[in-house]
Amino acid sequence: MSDLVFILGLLTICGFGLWTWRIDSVQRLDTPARLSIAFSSGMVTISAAMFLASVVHLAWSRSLFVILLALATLAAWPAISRRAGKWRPRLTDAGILVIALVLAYGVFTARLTCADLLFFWGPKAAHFQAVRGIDPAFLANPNYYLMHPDYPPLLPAVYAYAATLAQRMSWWGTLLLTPLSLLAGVASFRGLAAPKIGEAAAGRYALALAALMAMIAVGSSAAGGADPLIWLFTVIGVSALVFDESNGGRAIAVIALCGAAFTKVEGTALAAIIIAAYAVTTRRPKAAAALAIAPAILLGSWLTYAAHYRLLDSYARSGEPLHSDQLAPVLRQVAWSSSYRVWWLPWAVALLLILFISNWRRAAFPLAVSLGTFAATIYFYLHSADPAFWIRTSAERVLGATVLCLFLASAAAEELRIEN
Amino acid sequence: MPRDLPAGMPALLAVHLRLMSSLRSRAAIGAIYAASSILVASVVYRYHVTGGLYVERPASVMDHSGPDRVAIRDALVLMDRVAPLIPRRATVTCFRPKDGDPWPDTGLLLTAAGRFARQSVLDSSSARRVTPCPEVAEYVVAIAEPFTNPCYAEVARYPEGALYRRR
Repeated sequence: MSDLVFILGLLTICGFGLWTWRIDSVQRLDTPARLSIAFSSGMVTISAAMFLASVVHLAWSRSLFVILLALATLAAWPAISRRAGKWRPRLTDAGILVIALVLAYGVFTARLTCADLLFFWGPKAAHFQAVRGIDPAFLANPNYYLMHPDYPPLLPAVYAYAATLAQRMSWWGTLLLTPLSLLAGVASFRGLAAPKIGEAAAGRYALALAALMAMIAVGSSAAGGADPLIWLFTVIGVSALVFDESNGGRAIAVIALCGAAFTKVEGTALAAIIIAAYAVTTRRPKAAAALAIAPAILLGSWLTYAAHYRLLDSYARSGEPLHSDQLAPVLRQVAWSSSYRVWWLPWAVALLLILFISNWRRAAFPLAVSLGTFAATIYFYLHSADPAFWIRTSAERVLGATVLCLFLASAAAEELRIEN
Repeated sequence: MPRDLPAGMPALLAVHLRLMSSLRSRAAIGAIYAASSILVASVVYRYHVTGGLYVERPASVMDHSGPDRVAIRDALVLMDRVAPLIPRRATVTCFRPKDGDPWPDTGLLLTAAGRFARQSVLDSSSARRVTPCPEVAEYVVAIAEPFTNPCYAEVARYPEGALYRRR
């Protein structure tokens, strides 16, 4: 029963993101896309609120969350009552649903559970739920050093929120976040892309995106970890900037960047790369700088908190030496370790679709993000004197965003082919 | 004849470009559907490689994950079984004993921190023989192997290991 309440709790997170329906660009989207944006924004909103509650020593509780949910829904009420954009279910939607169910089957037969769920995301969430707040003493415990004490709290907070509602941590419930992330990412992409490339093309690409995300999740054993969320925020952030050039599109992207930056250190790098790539490829540095403000404030507040309790670790390694002489072996190991255990098929698919790109200008932004995330991954690995084990256990997961952006480049180029 | 012909472009060339563009689009559509099908087939192939159980509910969330899945599975199943037997705020440690003694295992320590969130988890050194009995951890969860520190008495035994309490 508590597993069910935990899962229902995860679904109620949509309520915390309903305020985004006030944004014109979200208002125009179809219902699945609106709900997906609300779910993604809800995770950012509730985790930020739970962090703030911990800062002011306000204990997390069911009643606190119910009040917050009611306030969030009330604040979004005028937008909720307005009609969503038209959505006609297509055959590709059935395909996406089947793929999500296939992924859910794998998740609930324990075929792709991420070890990091057991080693740090889950323990942090379970402990925070037990003590009803973020516990700096727990994070500072030297026995738990490998839990990454300074990682931002989005994922543990999301799990702790559902666990507080259920009064118990549900380890099976945590795994559901992976198929939910896939559905949310795919629906957001389709909703954002449809006005630009047409519903049929958006549906086709959404189907392929679902299959790609599922394969990456299975091949990298990512369920329950933070990477499915990073992929979700990548898809939303890049799609919003590619397909919606209005202020509303940039607002959606800002929320996704906040989510990525508030999840883990690779998400912070991803947010910085998306902003830099946007500045370079659109030649709009001011608009790009505006994208950085909210993520910087959110992450900055967490890092200030972490510094106050002497938790800084991963975010304070800028002085570490770079082992540039290791570049060739690192590249070799990364190439060897990123096959997704299906002969590099996700890479092959993303690269195959790039062959059909006829307008490279539109594809430039997602391609730049893809190259940037790949370079950042290599840069991280070069800071370790012997990264072989690290690469073997993480390369497939952290390169998921790279593969997805390669794929998004082909979808982005579809726009000009239609327009021309 | 194409209606939006660019100025100065011969009609035959324009038709040729349109035809090539159309073929390219059809090839792209075919590639997208083919890629989706192959990816889904690969997911099913990965499920086949990880093996059964196919319809039964797994005992733990790690049953099919990773090369050490049997060891992790035993630890998770045992921790879930003994968690209700350990009082809140009690000190507890968890390890796979070697020759009857504690053996450090960071993975088990971190996992135990999540499973015993309402207790206080200590590292395996808190149950060493050299430590005076009043100072050892109150509970020990010993995976698979017997734990022989005389400061402890066995409370419950399961196929995956046993729970011990300080005497």
